[in-house]
Parts: sequence; C-alpha cells; structure tokens
Amino acid sequence: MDCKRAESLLNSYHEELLSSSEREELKRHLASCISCSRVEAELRSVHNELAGFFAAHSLPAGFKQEVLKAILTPAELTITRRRQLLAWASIAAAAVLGFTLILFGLTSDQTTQPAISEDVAAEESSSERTETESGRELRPGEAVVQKSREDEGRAVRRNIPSQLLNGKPVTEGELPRERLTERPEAPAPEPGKEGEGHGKASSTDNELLASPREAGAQRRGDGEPPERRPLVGRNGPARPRRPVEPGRSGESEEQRRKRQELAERARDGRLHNAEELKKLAPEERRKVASAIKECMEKGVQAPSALKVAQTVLRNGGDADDVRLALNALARAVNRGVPAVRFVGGLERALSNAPEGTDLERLLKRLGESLGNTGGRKTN
Amino acid sequence: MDDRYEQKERSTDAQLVRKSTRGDQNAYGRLVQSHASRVYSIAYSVLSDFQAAQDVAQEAFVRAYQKLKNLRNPESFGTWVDTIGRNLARRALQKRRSTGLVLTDFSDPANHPAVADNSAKPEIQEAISTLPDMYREPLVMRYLGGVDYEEIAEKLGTSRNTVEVRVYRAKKMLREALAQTRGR
Repeated sequence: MDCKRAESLLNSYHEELLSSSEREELKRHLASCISCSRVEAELRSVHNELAGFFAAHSLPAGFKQEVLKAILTPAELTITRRRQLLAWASIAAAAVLGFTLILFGLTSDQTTQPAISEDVAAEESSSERTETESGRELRPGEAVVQKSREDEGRAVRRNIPSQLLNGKPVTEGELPRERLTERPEAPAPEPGKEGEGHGKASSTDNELLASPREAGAQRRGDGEPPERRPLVGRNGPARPRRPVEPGRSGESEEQRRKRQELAERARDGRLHNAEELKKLAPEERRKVASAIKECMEKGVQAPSALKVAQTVLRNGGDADDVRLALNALARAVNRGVPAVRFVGGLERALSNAPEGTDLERLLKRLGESLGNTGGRKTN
Repeated sequence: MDDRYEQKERSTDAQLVRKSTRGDQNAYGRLVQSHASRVYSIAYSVLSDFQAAQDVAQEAFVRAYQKLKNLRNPESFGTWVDTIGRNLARRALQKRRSTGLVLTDFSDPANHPAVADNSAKPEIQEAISTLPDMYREPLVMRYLGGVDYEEIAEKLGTSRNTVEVRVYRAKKMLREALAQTRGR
C-alpha cells in the first residue's frame, strides 16, 4: 500500500467503515510510515473532536413531540390521546367480557363496544371537522376538548357557547372580532334552571366576569387583591390593577354566582381559548383583538399570535402587555426568527418565572434585542 | 443501503404521508422521527447555530404538514422537507445578516444575552462555519445528522466516493484552521 492509497482510506478508517483486510493493510502501512502515521493521528484528533462536539448538540429527544404540539391544536392532541386510551380500554373490556362469557359457557356478541366509545364516535362524526390550512373550522355547540395546564393528561371538556360564535363557523386561528364588543343584557335565568351543567360556559355573553384576582378576593371575603406581584416597569411601579368589586349593581344572585364560577375557572386555566379573553373588560378585549390583528398583518400566523396573547394573559399580563409582546413577536418574525421559537421561549420563561416583574423584564429584553428604543407602550 | 431497501424506505414514507393526510398524527410523527436529524443538520450547515437550526427544523416540519396534501410524490417527502428546511435556513441567514442581530433562546430571561456573543463559540464551531459550503454540508450531515454516505450522495446529487473525499478534505481544512487558531 502506498501513501496515496493510505491517505484515501483514513476517513473510512476513523469511522470504522473499512473491511478487516483493508484495515490490517492500512495498519501495517502506518506502522512503517512516519509521515502517514502523523497525518493519521492529527485527523483522528479532528474526527474525535467533531464527534464529541456534534454529539453534544444532537436533536433533543422531545423534538417530535414539539413538532406535533405545534401542528395539532390542544383539542386534537387530547382527542388523539383519548381515542387511544379508549381504544385500549374497549379492547381490554371486550377481552374480559369474552373471557367471562366463555367461562360461563354463554355466547354473546364479541364486538360489543363500551358505550363511552360510542359517545366519542358520535361526537366525532357530528363535529364534521374540515381541515383547512389556516386552522380547523368549528361549528357552534361543538364540543372541544381542552387539556389544561394543571391537568396533564386529563381532558377537560368545554363547549363553545353558540352566542360567542354568533352562529357562524369560526376558524380557531381567528378571533371572532365582532364578538369582542358589548352585548345587550341577557335575560336572567329562570328560577330552577340554575346553570347548564358542569363544564358548560355561560350562555349570556354579557355576564361580567370578575378577574381572577377579584374571584380570589371574593372567596377570601376580604376585598384585598390577591398576592400577585405587580408589574414594575421602567418608569416605576406598575399601573394599579382593577379594584375588587364585591358586587355589581343590578346583578342577580345567580348571575353573580355564575360570574364567580367562571372567574375561578379562568384563574385555574380551565376555560377554552376564546373564553380567556372574556375576562377582560370590553375595552381591553378590543385592544387585544386589534393587537392580534396588527400582528397578523405583519406576517405572524394567527395561531402564534393568539398563543402569545393567551400566554401573556394567563400569566397576569393585561392588554397592553399583550400588545407589547405581539409587537415583539412581529418584529422577530420580520427578522427571520421562527415564530415557534419566540412563542416557545416566552412560554418557557413565563412558566419558570414568577409573574409580573419577569414578564416585564422579558418583554423589555425582547424589545431591546429587536432594536426597540421606546418604552413599554409601542405602536 | 441497497436499492431494495431504499425502495422500501421510500414506499414507507409514501404510506406514512398518505396516512398523515388522512389525519393520522402517529404517521406524521414517524415521518418526523426518521427525517428530523437530517433536516436539522442541513439547517445547521447553513446557520452554524444549533438553536436556530432546531427552530428551523421544527418550522420546516410544521410547514410540511400544512402543505402535505400538495405533495404530488409522497415518496419524495424526505427531499421535499430537506428543501423546505434549507430554504428556511437561508432566509433566516439572510435576514440575520441584513440586521446584524443574532437572537438567542429566550428560555431564561435572567441570564441570556440579547445578542449572541460570537467570541464565546468553541474554536471547532468557528472553524466549521468558515468551511466552504460544498465541504461543510456533507461534513455536518455526516457528524450531526448521522446520515450515511450513500444518502448524503443521493441528497447532494453526487457519488459516495465524492462525498467521502469532500468530508476528508473538510477535516484537513479543519486541522489547518485549528492548528492556526491554537498556535501549533
């Protein structure tokens, strides 16, 4: 073997791709050639350094799940898991039933399915979802299964109130803009018809939802705002939050009870996406809607914009914080940062950090890194 | 990898694509699993930034899913998603160059710098980023993506022997660059 041939085999030698005869021949040459031996040692060092360097940065194990999370809505994720669980449960139940019947010498229909899976099948067939590029088309009254943050792996069913959708199909990526306005007073519920069952949102759009803080204060009965760290901006202490109102004039006991129940569920993150916006005052809802619309006009996909808005709201931000976050998102996207990174980073930061101050600090840093020289309120 | 195995792989991809378009999320998950490392390595070879490459790879699969029904040849899913990833990476690189900003991960707002500090990069990373494209890409696909030489050759439209030679030359260039950097 000559040096040229030996050099041509070094790459495969380091990657252990040589046949045994080639390897032995190369080794014999290296043992007798100082120059090739030196080159081999140097390139082996580079090979080892490359292998170690890239091994430390391989794709994380959860990459596939992250992609599926980004693709699927929470409802679809949960329905998929629920289907899988129910499929296994029905198989197990059928097996037990069949075994039991065989034991007693009876014959039965082995294809009987548990009722719950029939319900799910009926629910799925009645939903008539249509996949669209921009999102999933929802129909009024369609059951949407949402996975809450607190109930990992456990589905919580919610219905979208027909009034919210105003009878029109709305894609999940869009805000029902015309809904984010004041609605006329709904009639008080008749006596005896209290509530519409657990898990169903109120049918009166005009129900004034207490903020989570108000709900907490009302439960404690002390009228004090709950322990949430206020936003401390660059220009000093945070703006005062909405004061706690023990009750609103003209409101029946039933309406107040429903309002408190919804506020509690909002605080616990057990409301549907669009419902979360209802906890804002109408003017704030309009601000959030127009901020999201602005963000989308700058090229951000609606699901990302809505997700950012929800994340900020869920962590104690208000409409102005949402606007700031969405402006930062739009600028990031315009500069080539993929939206998933921004949203993912924001959610991770907010889930790991206490509320208020860190949200403000994060938003400021995002603004600074994107060249924003203004204050908190931009645009 | 012989032709029969390659054909089987392609038909598997085709089957998974068809299942995915019918709403089978598990099928799409399997597609992601089998192509993710390669797409990631392609993105990294353009961007020289691991976090950015990961984000681009994720975005590529999301976009591929959204446009899956438009894919005329399901068996070419791998090549198609590679192209999406490469284009996204190039677009991101172009925008980064035009603004001069490199945005880092925002997972820890207390610690991260607003702009990436290039001087903190390992020497090997800096050296890899200076390699010519035709040498850097197969090197990164091999070491980061774990792609075998036959597949790299197919993706780059060349022969296995040519790919091996390019990887070898890339290593020689890295050897020279590191020797200069480290003052040997």
